[in-house]
Amino acid sequence: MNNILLFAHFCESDGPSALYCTQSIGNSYLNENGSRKLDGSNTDVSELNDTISKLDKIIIQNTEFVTFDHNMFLSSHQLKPQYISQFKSLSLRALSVEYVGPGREGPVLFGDDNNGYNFAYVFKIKDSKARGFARWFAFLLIDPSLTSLTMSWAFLQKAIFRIVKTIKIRSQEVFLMENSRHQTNNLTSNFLLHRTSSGAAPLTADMFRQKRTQGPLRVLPLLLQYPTFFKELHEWSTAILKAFSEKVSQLPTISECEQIKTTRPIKSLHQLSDLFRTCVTRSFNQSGASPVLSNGSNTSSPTQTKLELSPDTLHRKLMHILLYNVIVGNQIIIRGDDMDLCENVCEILLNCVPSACIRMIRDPSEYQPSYVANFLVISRNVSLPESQVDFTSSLLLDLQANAKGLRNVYVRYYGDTQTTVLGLSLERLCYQRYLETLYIQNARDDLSEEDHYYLYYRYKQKQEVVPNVDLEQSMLTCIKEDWLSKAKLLVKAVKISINSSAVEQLLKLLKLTTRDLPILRYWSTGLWRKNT
Amino acid sequence: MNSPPLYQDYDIDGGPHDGGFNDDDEDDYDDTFANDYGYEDEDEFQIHTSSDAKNFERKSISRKENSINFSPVTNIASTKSSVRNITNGSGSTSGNDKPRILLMGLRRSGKSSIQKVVFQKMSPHDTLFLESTNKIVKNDISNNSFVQFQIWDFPGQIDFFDSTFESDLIFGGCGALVFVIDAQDNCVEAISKLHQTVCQAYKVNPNIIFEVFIHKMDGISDDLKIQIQQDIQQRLQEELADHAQDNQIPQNIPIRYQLTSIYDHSIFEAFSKVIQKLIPQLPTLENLLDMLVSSSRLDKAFLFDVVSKIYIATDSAPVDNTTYELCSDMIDVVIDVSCIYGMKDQNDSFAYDEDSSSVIKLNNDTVLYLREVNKYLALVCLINKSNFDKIGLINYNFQCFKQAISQVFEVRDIIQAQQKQKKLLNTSK
Repeated sequence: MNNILLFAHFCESDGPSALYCTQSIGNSYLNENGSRKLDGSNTDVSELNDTISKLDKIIIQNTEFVTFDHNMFLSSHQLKPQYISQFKSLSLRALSVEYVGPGREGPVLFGDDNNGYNFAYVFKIKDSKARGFARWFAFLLIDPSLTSLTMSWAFLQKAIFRIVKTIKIRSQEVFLMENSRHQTNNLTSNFLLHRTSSGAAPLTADMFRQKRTQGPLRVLPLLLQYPTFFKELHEWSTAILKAFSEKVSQLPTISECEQIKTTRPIKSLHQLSDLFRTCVTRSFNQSGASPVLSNGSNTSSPTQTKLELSPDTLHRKLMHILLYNVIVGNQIIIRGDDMDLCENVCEILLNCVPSACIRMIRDPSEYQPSYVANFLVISRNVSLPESQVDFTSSLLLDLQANAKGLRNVYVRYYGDTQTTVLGLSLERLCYQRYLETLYIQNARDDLSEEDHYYLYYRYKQKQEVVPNVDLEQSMLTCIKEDWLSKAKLLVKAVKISINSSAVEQLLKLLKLTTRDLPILRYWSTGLWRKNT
Repeated sequence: MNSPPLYQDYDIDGGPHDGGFNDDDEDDYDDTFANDYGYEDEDEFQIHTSSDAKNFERKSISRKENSINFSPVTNIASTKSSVRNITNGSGSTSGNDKPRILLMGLRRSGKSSIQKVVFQKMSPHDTLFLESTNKIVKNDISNNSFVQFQIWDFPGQIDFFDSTFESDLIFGGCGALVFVIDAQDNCVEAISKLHQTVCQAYKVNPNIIFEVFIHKMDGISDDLKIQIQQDIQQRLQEELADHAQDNQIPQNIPIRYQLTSIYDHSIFEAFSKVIQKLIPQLPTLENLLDMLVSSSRLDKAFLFDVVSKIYIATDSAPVDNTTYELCSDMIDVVIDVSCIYGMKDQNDSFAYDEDSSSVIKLNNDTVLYLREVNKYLALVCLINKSNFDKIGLINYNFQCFKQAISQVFEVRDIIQAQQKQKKLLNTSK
């Protein structure tokens, strides 16, 4: 990386000029040019200056501060003579030409493809000895690429503003201090005093000349009463350049961008459900009826096939089977081309059960039985031998993805599914935003589940539903807590009585059915483990 | 005319037009810095430059096309300017045709003070607290259809003849160049700068009117004043003569010298003379005033721009400083009194309207007489007391004069409309 952070000022006598410059130079460049000895361990400054004076790409001379990292950061007041005029005109453009918002302070970006781009932050500070008590400064970051500057616009603005704020607060403090001191000392040469005490007394010619013949304005360490100002500035600049170059190197290439697009993280059940739905719908539209579900027992029934002809029904069934298997503790095998996506989906599903119940294995070299792992993320080259995998108690979720993202979802499960209370509440979470709105709009409870989902799909066709990830998270947590306490009660009930009467009583009390019992048992296993 | 994008937000009579920027981005702490003594009403103006360090290649580029502003506030500005670019491109805006007055000179010579005092009514004493100008500050003066121009206040530290600036765009459409010299300072540097400025500007635009304000004349004795003026005049002539051959410019470029100070009326008078040169109808106006003076037996008559107190025309009799000061002060008095007693409606009225008129009898047998000509102009005359008995005649003559002035305006409007139409036709062809 070769970036330059320039600190420019509007000089009272010479106009805009560069004041201080920090340059970062990649170590690779130094190595290529035979400057291996520059490694920060015991480099002598004069030796360093000799070396860098020979390097074309380094624009400064008489280095004052150096920081070594992956890159080398050099700071100095002096530029090499061949660069002075260019940097002067650059400062001129930032300080005297560019239009920088109201108050004339703030960030601005300018430049062109031929000459490179510049991010400038223009600001003024107080100086009791300057005309109008103001002095103008600017930070300039020079980079050949517009993209990298625009991408890190927010960062640069924030980071540089922080430095500017520090300088401004300091100058304001000093300014106020000096004014109060002048007032107490009753100095006649004080302009402010003149203004306040004698109204608008004209300045005499003598005073004018006196002021004119004053030397140059104070340098910043003196003005800010900050002796180590330029050392600090070097450190600030180094930090900014370092962060900037890291940001730039982190910028994805075009192919990476595509990758990112395909593996956009899924954050909630809702998003997962939506993703599956689009896949199901797409494959349904392409091939009429798609073998999304491989459900051994049901495929033969003609009514079932008819129902499955609708992609929405298919999707609902898919979510139902998937969630049911998750909450009763069947083994979930997630297989796919895109391992990141698989893991992402797995995480969402893991969220639905208590953490103590989870036994997850990522990317094993061969199939692991369900007593070893109830969640399994496997790659496509791991075989699933029919002899080992029992698909009545294991579910295979196959995510077929290509470069553009998830293309198809395939579920293999031969067991039965039950409608459970917990399953329903989780399924509702998939459609939560819609249901919220619907409940508010209709304020009626007499809609059946079927009506809900029908209306949901109609609603979804009309408008894009924005999922509320946070709300879902909290709802999920509540549901989990609720069911964990239910599982605790079950454990207690089992402890109390050997026969099943107490359990039945409990189920009645909790308004649950025997279909929910496997879930409670599964969740209580988490409790046991937690206790031990 | 190929003119750069302009921010024409400031009118002398109206204040900032687009002053509605909300500074929401700034933190509260910025308020602590808000107690500036600087006046930040004007808009900065951009010069076309190229300056870049990456490729280190000097190339003239147009700034607006290449810069991008991302902050929400600056976006407004860029949109505005792009709109102006379009209008300027078609050449249909009258603002584009406004003559330009450039205020140049060394740093601290008093350019910004002059601009603030004359056109923004700043108190001369407050100019001590002005910040140094770091950009070209553009001020749009359009008080009436006679006085319409732009004032560009240049930072003294920057060399605008540098190749990074497009001097065609700066000096091309310029009417007058006012070079301000600080009389209390050593003027050698100023003269060499003036010489350089005159040569370069003349090369770009030979029609430019050069005016030199020998400024900060207050507190300098009359003898010294003349001496300073002669000294500067002589030195400049020598410089011009010496280098006329090299620069290929004529030796006798007309340059007018004026002694000015912001603490008295001299700066207004000097500016009046600058502006008069930019008014094409000046001979007509002067003729009208001459006729009025002779037929009404007036001593002196000024046609004043009320807001800036610049006189845009006077009769052919020589102008006496004290007369001008008296008349100028009279406007202040009339406006002040009118503000107290003459407001019809508390809310929306302006202290100066069609009923404004005033007679002030002085103890030296002269009478000051002020009449409203139009919203922006006032006629102020000096009359001998003995000639003031026939007030009816004077009023009648004044009505004729007023009518004539409005006719001049009409003719001007017609000509402008015709020019616009011609331009439109040309562009459509």
